[in-house]
Amino acid sequence: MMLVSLVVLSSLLIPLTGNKYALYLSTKIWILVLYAIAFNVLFGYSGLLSFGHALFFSGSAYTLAILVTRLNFPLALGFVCGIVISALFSIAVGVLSLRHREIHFAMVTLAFSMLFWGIVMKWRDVTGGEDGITGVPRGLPLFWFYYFSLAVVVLSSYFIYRFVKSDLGLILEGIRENETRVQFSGHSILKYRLYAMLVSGTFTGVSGALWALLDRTVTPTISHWTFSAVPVIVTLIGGPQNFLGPAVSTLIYVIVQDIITKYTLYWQFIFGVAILAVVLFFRGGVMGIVENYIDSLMKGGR
Amino acid sequence: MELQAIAFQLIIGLATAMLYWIVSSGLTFTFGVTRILNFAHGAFYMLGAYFTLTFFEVLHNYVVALFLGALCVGLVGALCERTLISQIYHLPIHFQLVLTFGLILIFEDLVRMVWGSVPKMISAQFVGSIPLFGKTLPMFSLYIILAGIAIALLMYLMLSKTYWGLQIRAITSNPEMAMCCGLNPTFLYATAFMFGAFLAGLGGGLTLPISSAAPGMGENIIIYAFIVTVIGGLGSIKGAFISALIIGAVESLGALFVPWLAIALPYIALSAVLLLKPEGIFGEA
Repeated sequence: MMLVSLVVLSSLLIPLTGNKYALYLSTKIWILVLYAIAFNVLFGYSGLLSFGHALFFSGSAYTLAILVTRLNFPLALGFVCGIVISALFSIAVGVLSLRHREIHFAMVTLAFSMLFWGIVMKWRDVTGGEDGITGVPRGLPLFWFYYFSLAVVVLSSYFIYRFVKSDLGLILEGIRENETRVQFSGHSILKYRLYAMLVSGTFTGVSGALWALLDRTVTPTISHWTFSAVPVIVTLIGGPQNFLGPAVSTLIYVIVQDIITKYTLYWQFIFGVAILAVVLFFRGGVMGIVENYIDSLMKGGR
Repeated sequence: MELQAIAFQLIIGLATAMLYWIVSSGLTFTFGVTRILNFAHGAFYMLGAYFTLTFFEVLHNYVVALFLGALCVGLVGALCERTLISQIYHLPIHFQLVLTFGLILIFEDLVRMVWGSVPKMISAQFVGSIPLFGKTLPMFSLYIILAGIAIALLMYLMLSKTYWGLQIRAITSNPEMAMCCGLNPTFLYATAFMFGAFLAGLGGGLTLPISSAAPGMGENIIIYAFIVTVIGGLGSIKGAFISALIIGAVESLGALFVPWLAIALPYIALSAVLLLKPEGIFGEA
């Protein structure tokens, strides 16, 4: 907790450096941190692997962009509508997919997000097709937008934290560990999973809306399934059993990507090799390594 | 006239169906035997296109290039299985998906390093068209239909008429028992993976006459392969064939009657099947 407040407090200072690129990059990091944390409600805490979170992310980003640029909605209203759409999407997809488990759940969520991608690509008049939508206003200068994003991300993460540590979150973890037992104790599995889906999808929508404002553009890239893979991989690298795991590895992911792309075009290759290394050798992820290290320090001290 | 249009559209749909079938046959086969859902199947598809392209440039014989290309992909698949996939058979599904996703990233960049980022095409093959029902059917459609049927036959013969096929079926239906009878799982899983990769490579090479080879080409086709595989029942080869036919028919008739809905139809078919029969048409519960 100490460490978290320290990171948040020190990140308050970033805009004061006056470096525009650093400011942009750190806003992006905060947004992706929320994306990963929201995703992990479903994956780490409920044991459901969604391969379609780009749907909720781009659903809200596109709603915001369409309402504001094409229908002249006020920015704040567009922001809220985007998040509401993500919430509705998550309920709809949840109802259709939550009866499935493991691989089938992953495939169904993947299929629905790709359906949305298909619509985005084809419905040119509204979504701009492959070119996307440009000219989304940000409403605030980047300097203040950074603080706005930071506040939204920290508050959202705090809410998610309270959610997964509540009784409800405990039941979700129970379902992950042993479905039958939880069912015997009188809880409706489907209902609790739907709650998890709703929280996860809605906050993914929050991050998507922020993304549209930061980039001032939305493109189909954020609705393609490869964008759904980002939180999956980031979470696995960070360690899904730790609330902050996804956040830590998002930080690593964006910064390393930024550094590598300066030196080589082939950052995907290096990233792929890193994924193989994590899956083959460090299955607990970064936080797993840190925890092991702390454990060994404690034992050594005794 | 109307009936002719429908019949023509169904033939076009059959060609689409056969393309989906070719791509998903290897995916569902590999899953059936090894229980690995291979995201990198799309990458193997892409590799198949590039290998075929290069062999064609050297040999100027499309059919030979196609087989050599697919064979090389098969070898790449076997290599991946031996070094990486074999390490993760016992791990939960998400590790498998993520590891094979990592393979996609690696292969895509390797392709960019070797062949460059610009899409590449081979000089015209199977051009021309034949008249049918008052319209013209591209030769390519005819050729992909024949190729699909040939692959179905090849799989049938490999699995039911060879000793290898017998062993594969044994280890699929009961791994412990098969091992007790002295079958070698290492060899069988590696060759099964190799065969799946071979089929993916064949698919990539087969599409070369109409579409160019590009680094991202596997990423979209793999989604259709997943849809077909899930509808048919994961691991069921017969199911994949039939669900490819369904998707092909739904898509082509949809394009005729409800063009504005056409892109959503495969997904609607998927949700309908999964709501009625979650394990797929021929899947085990």
